[in-house]
Amino acid sequence: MAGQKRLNEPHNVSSVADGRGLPASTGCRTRKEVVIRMQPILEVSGLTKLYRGSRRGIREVSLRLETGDVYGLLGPNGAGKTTLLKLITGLIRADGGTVTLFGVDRSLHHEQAMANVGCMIESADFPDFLTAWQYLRQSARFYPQVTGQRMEEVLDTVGLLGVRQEKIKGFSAGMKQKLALAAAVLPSPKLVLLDEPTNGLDVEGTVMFRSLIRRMSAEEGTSFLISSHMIHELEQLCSRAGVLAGGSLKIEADVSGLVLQGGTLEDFYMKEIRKKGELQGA
Amino acid sequence: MHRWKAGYVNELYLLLYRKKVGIFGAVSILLPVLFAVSLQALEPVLGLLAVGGSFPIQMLGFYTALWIPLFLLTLTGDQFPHEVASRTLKLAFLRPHTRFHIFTAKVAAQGTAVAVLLALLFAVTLLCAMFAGTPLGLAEGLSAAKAYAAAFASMLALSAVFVFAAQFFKSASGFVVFGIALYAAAKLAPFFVQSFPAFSPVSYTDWHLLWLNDGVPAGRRITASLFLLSSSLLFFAFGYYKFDRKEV
Repeated sequence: MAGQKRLNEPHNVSSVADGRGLPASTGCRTRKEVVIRMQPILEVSGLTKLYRGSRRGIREVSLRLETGDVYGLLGPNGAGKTTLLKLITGLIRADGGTVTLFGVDRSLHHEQAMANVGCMIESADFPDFLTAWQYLRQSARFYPQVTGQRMEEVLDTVGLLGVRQEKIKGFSAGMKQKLALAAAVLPSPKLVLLDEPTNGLDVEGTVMFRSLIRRMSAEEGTSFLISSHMIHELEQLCSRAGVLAGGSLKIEADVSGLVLQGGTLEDFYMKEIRKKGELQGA
Repeated sequence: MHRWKAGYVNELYLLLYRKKVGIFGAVSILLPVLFAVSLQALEPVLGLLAVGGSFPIQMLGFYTALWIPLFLLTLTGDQFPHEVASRTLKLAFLRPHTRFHIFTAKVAAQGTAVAVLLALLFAVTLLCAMFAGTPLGLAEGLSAAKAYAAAFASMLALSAVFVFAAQFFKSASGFVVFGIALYAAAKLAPFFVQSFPAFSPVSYTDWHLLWLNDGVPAGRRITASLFLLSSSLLFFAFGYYKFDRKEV
C-alpha cells in the first residue's frame, strides 16, 4: 500500500534537490543530493483543546500524514478522537497548536486548506427534507470538476443509486452513513477524515467501505484518517495507527510491522491502555 | 467567488425545498386576494370604495407590520438555530468555504426571499386593484413600487436584528418565541419611552410611507435611510462575530 512505512522509520523520504524526482539508485547525480522532507498532507502540531468545566479534551497532540497513508485513530470513549477531528476541520477552536493541510495553515486559510479534504465527522446528519441526489448536488456545487456522472458513480459505489430520488427522511441509519461517505469522497479528495464510519453499516456496507478505502489509497494515493472502535477493520485497512487516551496521543505504530512481528492491533491497543491504567493507578 | 455563489445557491435551494416557505409563499399570494374579495363583498355595507388605488399600500402596511416579520423569524430560525440543533450547520463548515461566506450567503438568501415575497405581493395587489375596477395609473404605480422598494430596506434592517438574536439560540422554536416577544415589546416600547423609536429599527417597519409623500423633507428621508443602513451593518456585524465563534 502506498505510503506504508516500517516500524520506527522516520517520516522522511529521500528526494532530489534538482526537482527531477529521479530515484536515488539512478547514480546519475552528484554528491549535492540532499534529503528533503516530503510535504505532509496533514500536520498537526501541539494541538490542545480543553472543554470548559470538565477535564476532557486533548493536550499537545501532534501527528503527520503523508500521501497514501491510512491512519487509524484508536482510543476509549471520551479519549478525544472526535475532538481531534473537529479541531483539524475547524468545527471547534483550538486553545493552542496548529493544523496544516497541504502546507496551508487551516485556521488562516480555511477555504484553501479544505479544498482537497473530504469529511464525515460525528453522526451522519442531513437536511432530511432533501433527496440523496439534491444533497449530493449541494456538495458538488463547491467542486467544479464534479459532474452528474461522478455523482451517479459514488452513489452506485455506496449502493444508493436506486434510491437517489428518495428523501433522506426515510433513510435508515446505515443508508445515511453511506450517503455521508459518498459525500466525503465525491470530489476525489486527497485526504479523507472519517469518524466512526462503519457505525450502522450492514455487512455489504462494511465490505464496500473497506474496498473503497483500499482502492482510493492504492490507485489515487488518497490519505485517510479514520477514528473507529472497529479494531479488526482498522487492522485490515491501516498502514499506521495511533492510540489516543486521556487526551494525549500515547503511541503510534506501523500496523504491517506489528502484524509481521506476530502481534495484532488489538494486543497493541490493550497493552497501551493497560499501561495508561497502571500509570493512573500508581 | 464561485464558492460564495455555490453557498448562496445552496441556501436558496434549502429555502425552496422547505415546506413552510412554500406555504408562506402561497398564503402571501392568497391573503390579498381574500382581503380584496371580502372587502368587495362588504362594499355595499361599508358604502365605501373597498379596493381602490391604495390597496397595494394598505396591504404593504399589514405585510411589513406582521406578515414579513413572522416570515423573517421563521427563516432565521431555520437558517441558524435549527441548523445548530439538527447538527447540519457542520455540513457547511466542513466545505471549502469561509464562515464569512457562509454567513453572508445565508443573509443574502434571506434578502432574496423577502424581495421575492414583496415582488409577489406587489404584483398580486396590483392585479386585485385591476380586477376590482380601480387599476393604478403610471404615477400611482411608480409611487407604490417606490414604497415596496423602501419596505425592502426596512425589512432587511429587521432581518439583521433577528439574525443577531438568533446566534444566542440553539433551538428554532425557542428563538421564534423569543423573537415574537422581542418584536411585540419593541412595538409597544414607544408608548412608554417616547425616544425609543429613534433608536429602534423595529419602529421603521412603516417607513415606506415616507416615500409616498412628496412633502417629506429630503433631510428626514436621508437621516432615516442612514439609520437603517447603519443599524443593518451593526447588527449583521455583531451577528457575524457570534457566528464566527460558533463551535458545532
